[in-house]
Amino acid sequence: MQTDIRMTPGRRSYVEEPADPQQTRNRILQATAMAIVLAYPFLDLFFGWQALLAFIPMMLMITLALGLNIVVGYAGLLDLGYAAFYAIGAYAAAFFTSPNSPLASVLPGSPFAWMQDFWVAMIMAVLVAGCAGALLGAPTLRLRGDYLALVTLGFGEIVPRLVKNLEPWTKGVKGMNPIGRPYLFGCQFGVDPCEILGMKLKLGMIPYYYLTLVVGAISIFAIIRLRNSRLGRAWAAIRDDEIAAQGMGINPVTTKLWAFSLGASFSGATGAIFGAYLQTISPDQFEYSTSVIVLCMVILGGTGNIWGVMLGGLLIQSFDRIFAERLTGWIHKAGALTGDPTITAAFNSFDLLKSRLLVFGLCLVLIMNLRPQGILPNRKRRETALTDLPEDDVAPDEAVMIAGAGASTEKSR
Amino acid sequence: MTASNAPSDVVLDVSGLTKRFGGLVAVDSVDFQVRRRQIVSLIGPNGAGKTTFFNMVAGQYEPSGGRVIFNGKSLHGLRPHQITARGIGRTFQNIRLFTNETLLENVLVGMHSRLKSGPIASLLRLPSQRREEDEAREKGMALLHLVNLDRFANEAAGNLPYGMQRRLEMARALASEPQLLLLDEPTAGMNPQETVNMISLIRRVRDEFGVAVLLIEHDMQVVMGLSERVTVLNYGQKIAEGTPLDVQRNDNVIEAYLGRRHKRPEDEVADGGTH
Repeated sequence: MQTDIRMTPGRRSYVEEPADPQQTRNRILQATAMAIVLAYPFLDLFFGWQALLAFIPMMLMITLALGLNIVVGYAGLLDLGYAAFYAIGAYAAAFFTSPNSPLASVLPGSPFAWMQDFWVAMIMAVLVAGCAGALLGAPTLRLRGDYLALVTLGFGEIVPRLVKNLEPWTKGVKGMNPIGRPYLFGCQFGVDPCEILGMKLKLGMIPYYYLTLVVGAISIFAIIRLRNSRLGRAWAAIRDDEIAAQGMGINPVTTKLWAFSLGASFSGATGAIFGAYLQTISPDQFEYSTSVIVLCMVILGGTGNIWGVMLGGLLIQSFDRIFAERLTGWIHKAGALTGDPTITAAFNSFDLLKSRLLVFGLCLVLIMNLRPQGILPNRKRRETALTDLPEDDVAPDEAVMIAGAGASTEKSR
Repeated sequence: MTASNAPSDVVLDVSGLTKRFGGLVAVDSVDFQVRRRQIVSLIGPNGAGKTTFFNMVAGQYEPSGGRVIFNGKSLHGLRPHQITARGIGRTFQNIRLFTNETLLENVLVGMHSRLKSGPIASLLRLPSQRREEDEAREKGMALLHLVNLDRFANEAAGNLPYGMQRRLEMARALASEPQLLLLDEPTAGMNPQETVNMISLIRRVRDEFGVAVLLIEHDMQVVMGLSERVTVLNYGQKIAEGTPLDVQRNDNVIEAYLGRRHKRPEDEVADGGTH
């Protein structure tokens, strides 16, 4: 009975998933969500919600959080200076495309003029940010936990400061503007009217919405693939137990470098779009608070779970950019409805927009206490662990026999 | 013990291996060999330096002196992951599983050094990467099946009861296709039945995978029932080596475990009589 286990695996269906109604419901939910997201700009126009301009930076921030989730959630490396990579991406793109950049006097007319195209600049931004991630990663790899966090914090401080002081290249605190706009199908993003197929259309910022959506979708797609690859498993192993991971043949140095570098490259694309969308970038957009907000989005939603991270991002950002303002408006209206001047005045003094950091802080404390793992935790651990089973439900020798039998072993319990 | 002395037969050859922690000599110039397909036990009282010895072989600690030759090549200066890639797999004294990952993922992590696909291939999901993943998953299931855990393949490893975790660690170590398996107290904390299971599993793994097994063990039933050779460490020094029977009768060993007997004249006579 000398069966070589390695040679005769005997196709077993490890992916068999019984069709269950929960899954069908999830599918429907997903399809609906997707349809809403795709149609949003037109719904927004139709219903007059006027929230499109809030949604674009919101989605950019969520994409940023997805990138940070690779570093923090998958590889378990606490990064407090993630906004630095965002800045590097934005400045890299601006560098190539802005007429304010020193390159603007060199590139036009030269054989490298094609570099001034937004799409090229965006890819450059991805590469530059990825390299910056690897560069920062290199000296920090021997550090763990708190020490690593401190170094990334330092990096997050250094980058905006460098940008402020390297005035000849970055225009210092004034920032860079304008920035080259993406151009696609005869349409310059954000410039009306757009001419598509001979039709003149007034699209406003809608093209940016879809650009952000596409980049976000590509990010999600890439992250899911990475997570389920050899590298993704190595990240999880390093996060759970670095010593055991090394014992399994994982090189912690390259594994962490990949995490830093890939995580940073997502922020590169985001930074490029952000710059083009706002048409101006300045160092104060990439301060420490940006890093913290993005980190909060990751942790609040559920570190390591991309759906959780997206939900966390959506909650924080939609409050910040939409609901704080609208809720305040509704409260003021409610106060006015009472007709009582003192109540109206009291309601009017209520301003969520001013106290939004307070509300944000309170929510964070509350959620972290109620759900320390985040709103959607990484992996749902079973409530009843396997300890409820008999320790070994097979007789001693039988166990080994079964282990060797190779076929038909679905021992029901 | 019919092992030949041909050098190729020796999978692990350790000589003069020493580890000092400050003034403490945890392992003191130990010579040691493991042959192919051999099951060797390393025993000794607590603090004898067994795990330190293991950690030096696996590259976790850098030796203060001596050398480790594996398959005819020195392991000097190699990092733990490189040593795993060379063909030494290990389990840990305090189980170190990736508790948030599923059983299958744990085993797949064990295969890390045998898989090649890089991030780009994974992003593009190239045919070669897909094939490699499929094969790895099949092999992973076969390994889980070997330790009789394939039913729980998609369970988080942290949910397993203790005995099963030990078996999973074994499957994970085997996934790296080792030629030498280091098992640090594989039956610690197990009940008698689980211990018997583990003994037959270890023997079976040796027979089917052709690996050499070096284990640290306290349970004498396991040591005597399983090992072909036993090495005894005490205060970092090798005090005895031989077949389980030899070692059991060795005076140094008895002394190390039970303490020195207060000798009286009539004992000396008795001792003389037995020799």
